[in-house]
Amino acid sequence: MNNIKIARWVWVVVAVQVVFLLSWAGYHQWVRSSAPAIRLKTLPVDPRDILRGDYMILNYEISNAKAPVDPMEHSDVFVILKPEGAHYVVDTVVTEKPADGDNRVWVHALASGSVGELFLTYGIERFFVPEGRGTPTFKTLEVEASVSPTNRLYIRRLWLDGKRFP
Amino acid sequence: MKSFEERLRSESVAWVETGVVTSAQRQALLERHPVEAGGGGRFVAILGAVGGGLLLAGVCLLVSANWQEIGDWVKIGGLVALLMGAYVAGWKLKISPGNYEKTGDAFFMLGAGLLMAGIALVSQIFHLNSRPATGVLVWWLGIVTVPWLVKSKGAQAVSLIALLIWLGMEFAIRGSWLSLAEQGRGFEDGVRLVAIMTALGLAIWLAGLALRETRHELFAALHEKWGALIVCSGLYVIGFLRHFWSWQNNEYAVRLLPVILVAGLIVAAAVLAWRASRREVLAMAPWLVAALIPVGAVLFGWNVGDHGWLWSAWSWTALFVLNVFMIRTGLATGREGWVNLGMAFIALNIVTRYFDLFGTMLEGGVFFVISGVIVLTLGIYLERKRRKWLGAMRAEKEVA
Repeated sequence: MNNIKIARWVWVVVAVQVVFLLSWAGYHQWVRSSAPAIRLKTLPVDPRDILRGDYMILNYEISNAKAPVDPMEHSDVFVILKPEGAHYVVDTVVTEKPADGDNRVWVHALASGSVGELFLTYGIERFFVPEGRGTPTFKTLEVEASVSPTNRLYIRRLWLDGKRFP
Repeated sequence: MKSFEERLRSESVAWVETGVVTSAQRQALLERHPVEAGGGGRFVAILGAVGGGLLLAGVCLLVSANWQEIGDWVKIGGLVALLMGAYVAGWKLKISPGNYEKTGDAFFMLGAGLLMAGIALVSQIFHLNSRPATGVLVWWLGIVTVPWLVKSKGAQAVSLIALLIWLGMEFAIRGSWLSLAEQGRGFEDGVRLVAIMTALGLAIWLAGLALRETRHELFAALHEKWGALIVCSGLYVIGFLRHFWSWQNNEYAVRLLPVILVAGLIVAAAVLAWRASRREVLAMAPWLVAALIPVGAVLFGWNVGDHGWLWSAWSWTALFVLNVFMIRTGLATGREGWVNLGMAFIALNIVTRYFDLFGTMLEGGVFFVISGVIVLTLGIYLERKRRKWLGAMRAEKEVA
């Protein structure tokens, strides 16, 4: 091949792909194991993702909130959470990012709905389960979620009737 | 079954007898293709293929049976190893030493696909699902340079798929910066997505023309064929517009930003194609503009009060004349893909319009008899034509 010198650059691209995959996975491993965690009350249904297999759609108590603001449809909002018993619940929803020194637990969410009846999505609405086993039976479902340094929620683990799943 | 070498040895006797080749020429041919003792490497190759296939199937079964027990990082590490292995195999087979270019191309294609598998795997393991379109964008960005560096058509095909999926998702997602739907409005209307993807297909088609006679000419035919396929498929679907016209009106016109982006891509590709081949762009322009009119009608909700009949009929006609142009140009320039696509869509368009327009007018039995005769006659006629034209084209190429 005449352009072998140019073709060699493909190894830089491959290295970028590998470094990206490993560092992305590493970051989420770190968030899962080290970032502060909160527990959330949850309800599931179970569809399927073509690429990634079976999953439960999770609907949280913090997915619905009453808010004194009227954010644009599908706009970013900031949800301030507060502990209530063993779980975290919505304290308030604001459209202005909390100040840097704010020590409250707050996370990013996408809002839809209108004043008073907001539906919030956090990017933790799917939990991938072992294929073919379907949704397990349970009475209570809780999600333990990590709050990343960038104030995003990531699922750490699931608790069914107080036991870890899967 | 005899090997090529064995058949050459036996059949060439008759060639000498009928004067097709001289005895000396036969001898030269036989020396060039000697029959290897014991069937040469064929048996080994068959064993290798069967054994390799069994081994691969076994590994896949083992991995899938134990998938839940495999650690997360073993899965990720295995996928990274597969990804690197695919690129290493691609490099060895296609580039250095490069004795099996097509197989090497397939490995580069596999490597490009495995990056998406890696992204899906990591997002599955860590339950990441905030924005799937961003995952596809990362996939496309990760592989977009690979085909241009190693001249891999397979990888370019994967890259085009990634780009199309990403843009399709962005156009369809609520709240996306490229969403076709206005802020706060749902996007349930698939025909507008089809329309903008049709326009995008046109940009890809023109990009193929622009690549002709450049150092990346290798990708020209791929872009042209994919672009033509998307445009023809889009027009075919828009041909059904009259059936779901009730949703089409000015109030539901799409957002301008995605339209401007795609229009910009079309103009950029057209300018580059113009510089590469002014004659072809001029020849294509009227048919492509005709194809864009129903696309514009869908995107902007142009309502002429006829429940979509005008734009449906326009799409049928635009598709037909575009196909005729593709066949003519394909025959004149030796592009078999254009001829095949043109013939296929002419047949599909005629048969579909027959069912679409007359399907409800005839009694069940009569309808099926007439339909069968039409489909058979049209199919046989078009296939004969296609073979005749392609045969003539290939003969011309051989003479040239």
